[in-house]
Amino acid sequence: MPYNIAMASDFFYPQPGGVESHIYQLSSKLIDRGHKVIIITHAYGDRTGVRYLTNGLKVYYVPFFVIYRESTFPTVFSFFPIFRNIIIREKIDIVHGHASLSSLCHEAILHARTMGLKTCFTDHSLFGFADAASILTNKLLKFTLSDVDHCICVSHTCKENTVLRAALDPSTVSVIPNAVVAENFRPDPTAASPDTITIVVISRLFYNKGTDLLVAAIPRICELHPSVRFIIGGSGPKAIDLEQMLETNMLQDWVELLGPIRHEAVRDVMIRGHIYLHPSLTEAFGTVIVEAASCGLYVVCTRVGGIPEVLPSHMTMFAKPEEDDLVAATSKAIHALRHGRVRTDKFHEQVKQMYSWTDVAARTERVYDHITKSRNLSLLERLKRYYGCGVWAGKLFCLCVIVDYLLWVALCYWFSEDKIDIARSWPKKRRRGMLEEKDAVRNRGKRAKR
Amino acid sequence: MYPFTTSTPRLVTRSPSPTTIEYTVTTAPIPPKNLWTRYLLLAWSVVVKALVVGVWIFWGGVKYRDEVVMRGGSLEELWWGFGGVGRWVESTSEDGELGMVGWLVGCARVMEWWWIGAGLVMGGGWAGRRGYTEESLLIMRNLGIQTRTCPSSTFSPLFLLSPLPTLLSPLASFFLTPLLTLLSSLFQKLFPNTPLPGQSSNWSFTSFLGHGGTTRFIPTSQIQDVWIHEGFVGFEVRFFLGVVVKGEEEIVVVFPRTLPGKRVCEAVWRGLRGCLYEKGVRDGVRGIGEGK
Repeated sequence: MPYNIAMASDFFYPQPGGVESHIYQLSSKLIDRGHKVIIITHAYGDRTGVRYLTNGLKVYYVPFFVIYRESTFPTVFSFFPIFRNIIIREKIDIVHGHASLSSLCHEAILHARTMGLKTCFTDHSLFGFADAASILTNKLLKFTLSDVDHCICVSHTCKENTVLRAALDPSTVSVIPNAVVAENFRPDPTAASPDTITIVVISRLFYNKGTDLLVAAIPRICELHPSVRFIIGGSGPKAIDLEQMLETNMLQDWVELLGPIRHEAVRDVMIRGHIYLHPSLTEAFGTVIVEAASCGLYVVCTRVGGIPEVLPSHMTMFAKPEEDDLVAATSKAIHALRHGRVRTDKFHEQVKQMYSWTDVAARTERVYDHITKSRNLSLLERLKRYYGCGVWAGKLFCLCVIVDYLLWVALCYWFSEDKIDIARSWPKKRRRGMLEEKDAVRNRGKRAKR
Repeated sequence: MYPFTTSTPRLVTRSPSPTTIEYTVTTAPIPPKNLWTRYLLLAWSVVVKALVVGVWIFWGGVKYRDEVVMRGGSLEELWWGFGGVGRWVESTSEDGELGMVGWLVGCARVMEWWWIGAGLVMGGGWAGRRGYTEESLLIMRNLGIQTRTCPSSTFSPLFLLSPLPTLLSPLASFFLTPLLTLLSSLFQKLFPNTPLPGQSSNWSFTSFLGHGGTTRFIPTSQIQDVWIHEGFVGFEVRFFLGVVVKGEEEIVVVFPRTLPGKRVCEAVWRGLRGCLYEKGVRDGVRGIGEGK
């Protein structure tokens, strides 16, 4: 049965990023499968109101306060009237929230549960347990996830992390990895220089992306292998460290700094290299290494977070997240390439087989099938779940849920449902599964006639 | 008062000549079918008008009935006034105590004349308020379209002529405008919901008294496109009919105050398209929900 799905997150285009492209790709593939998908996000600058993207994907840019790095102000209840209006006019059955740092997503899930809808949550990142910010985020996560129907994580490491942070039952958490559009990352063997081995690094230059490791490793690699060249793309606070390192070691002829790169241009940079170096210290999934492998690059990466799950061992060379091991692994990779022990030309086809958004959408659909069959909890049962969140927090959460419920009752009275216009749906494609079933029935009918 | 003077927005279609068609969206009340309800409504309007007239007469009384006995306007008067409710018909009783009317007249005499005048203008304005909104779209084939919003007060033309508001407005704006500006900016900060294009979000003195009517004519050559879209209005997402005008950044919303909803918008859109681009005007006239 086709569903009406609302994706809720603070992060969506025009802002570029991993979560944003995940939501877009997943939504458009779900539409291809015959579902109706809308996206609810906050307004970006003058981009407010209702917009349509390719394939009839409808986006609601809700005008709201933005406090920090495109996250909205957590007002808990103020979003409810608009949210309810959108849900009713679009006849939504499932609300799917994305990203644990997005307050819009948490609010949407809370309100959707109050309205008795099915909810689902996708976590895209790993968090610590020790610092104050993480503790606060984890508590908030525990609040909304106490009463979510199902969780999706992008890797097994991410699942472990989320289960621990939100104290969830692991059986309600599924792992569905990200994917790449392999067509956008086609290899081009002629683009790379035949004389030297070029190592490409594309990442935001932050501490958690391992830029310090990179700064320490580059001079040693250049010393060991004088014919190696580096291309580094991306910007961030650690760019200065990188430039200083180049000047102290006078490596300007060996290392090329490109600065920030747009997502469309990433492929053109990647195909110029032979090896992709990914020194990250923490990573939930690491889409970029899949993109690099798809471009036919041999991948050297640190064994952290969800990275070991992403690519098969013949495409990658793992290192511990420390300087010596990273240099050793890179040297091994250079040797392997020089002696032709790695068939990078086959990588693209293999990645194409492994990762596709169509597959991600099909697996997400199975999650939807599962949650729509589950029983809806009564208010008392929900309150019991929230009460278990902590000595003080439990009571506070219960209070929030009760206020939310009362607000809902009031909204049903003030803005009665029959006065809300139902929006027109985009002309639908036939669902693939249904198409095949119908064809099968028709063929059977023909055979019977004969 | 509310349930008697407004109803949900409804569409009235009129075609005064073969080449014109007028769509009117109004929230005016439909005359009730029940006879008794009609009597009740009639009685209600009679009461309202009688009150207004009563105030006028009372004011005249203040001017000419100097012979009314009164003591000064002190707090005691108030007590006397309430105490004399039973004897309110007589202006004065035999022992010289004041009745209700006497007290009112007495109070009125103490008041300044401009105070009463302003009160009357305000009261008259209130009594003359329509209470409902009416907006229309007139389509003239080969010429263009004209949007119109009805003035909110039946006295609006009078308002423009009379010197009182002109005298009052600098005074009122001196006190009210900073306060209202502050309030509206605060409101905008808290709920930065952008209104639909063409809908004014600022509060002003004119909207306090009631807005005057507006009409706008758009020639056919200026119309680029006509479409229905959705937008955020307050806590809701509403459908609106928009006209894209050449050379203008913002679109013109056709029924900006009533925002009558999808069914009405679609009906008007069909008529508008049919009239501007396709067939004869009469073909454009279709009832709501009759299909494509």
